[in-house]
Amino acid sequence: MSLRIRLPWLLSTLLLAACSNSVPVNIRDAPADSPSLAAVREDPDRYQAQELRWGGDILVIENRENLTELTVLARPLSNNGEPSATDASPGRFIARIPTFIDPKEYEEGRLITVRGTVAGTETRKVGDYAYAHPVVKASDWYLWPRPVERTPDYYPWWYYDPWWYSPWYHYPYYYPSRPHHHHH
Amino acid sequence: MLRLLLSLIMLFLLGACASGPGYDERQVNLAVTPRSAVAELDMIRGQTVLWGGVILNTINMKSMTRLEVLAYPLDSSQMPLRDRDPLGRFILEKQGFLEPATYGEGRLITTTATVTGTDRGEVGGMEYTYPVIEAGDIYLWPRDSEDTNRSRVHFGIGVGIGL
Repeated sequence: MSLRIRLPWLLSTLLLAACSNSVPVNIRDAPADSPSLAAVREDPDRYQAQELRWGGDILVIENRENLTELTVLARPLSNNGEPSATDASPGRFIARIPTFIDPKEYEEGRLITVRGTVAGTETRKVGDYAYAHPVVKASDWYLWPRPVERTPDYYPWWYYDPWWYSPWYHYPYYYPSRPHHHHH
Repeated sequence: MLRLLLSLIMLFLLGACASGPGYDERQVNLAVTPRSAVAELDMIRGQTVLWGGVILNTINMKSMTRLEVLAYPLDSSQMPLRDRDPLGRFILEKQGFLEPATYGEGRLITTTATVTGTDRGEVGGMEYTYPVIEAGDIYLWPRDSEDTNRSRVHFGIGVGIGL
């Protein structure tokens, strides 16, 4: 066994370990034949009630009487359903969440992935432009954790002296004044 | 396998550096800036310009999108240089819908566009005459391109003294 085989394995294990957190199974696994947003926008009738998994950035959150409507700017999803950080977007959609969700929690800019069924389209204004939003009746949804803000490293890791905190740091070598005992 | 992995990494690194729209500059009037365009509009109407800058405002209209842009000189990869003096504002019109959450305030763009006219607006209570250009193509710079597109080489020398 050489490094040739082990490295990819090691890498994929690490990556898997990074993914397998608390993502619900219905979000992590896409339904078979989840239609693309472009396809639904073009022919919503054809996809009526079809199951899908979409996700993206929350643009607007509106609490209604018994439900919450999210306007989401869709992003391409990774295999585990997480929206990717890219400017590429197939467009907006409306996710109808059948309960109250807190607008302070589901804030603008947060990433969400929903699973649900196509419930037609709804034309709403974006500025003066009449934008036909596909509507998703959500059955499952998952708010992705905020990306961890890393404090900037002032120096790379190899700059630091690994022995700085060592209790022997001040001692072992070149300590000229230590008395020497000679045994004969 | 390792070789494949390495070449993928190399590709990724290359992709991170050599970006930009790469617009053909041969059919472009490179001399005209947004500020000079207003004065010499009759001479340059219909000509193609290559301008870029930072988006100040995005307005979605019924069948087109208008971006108000503060122009900056472009570097060799056609990226606006935001640390230089700006070259004035312009209005960029694009037929159809541009997503305002993506083409929003603060984002950098570079465009090849045709000079179509001027428009009046107000900036800080003063009347402002904008050149208006109609976009052929618009390149949206990724959010981190100002960091990654400039080759910044840091050398650090560390001296540690233990007492």
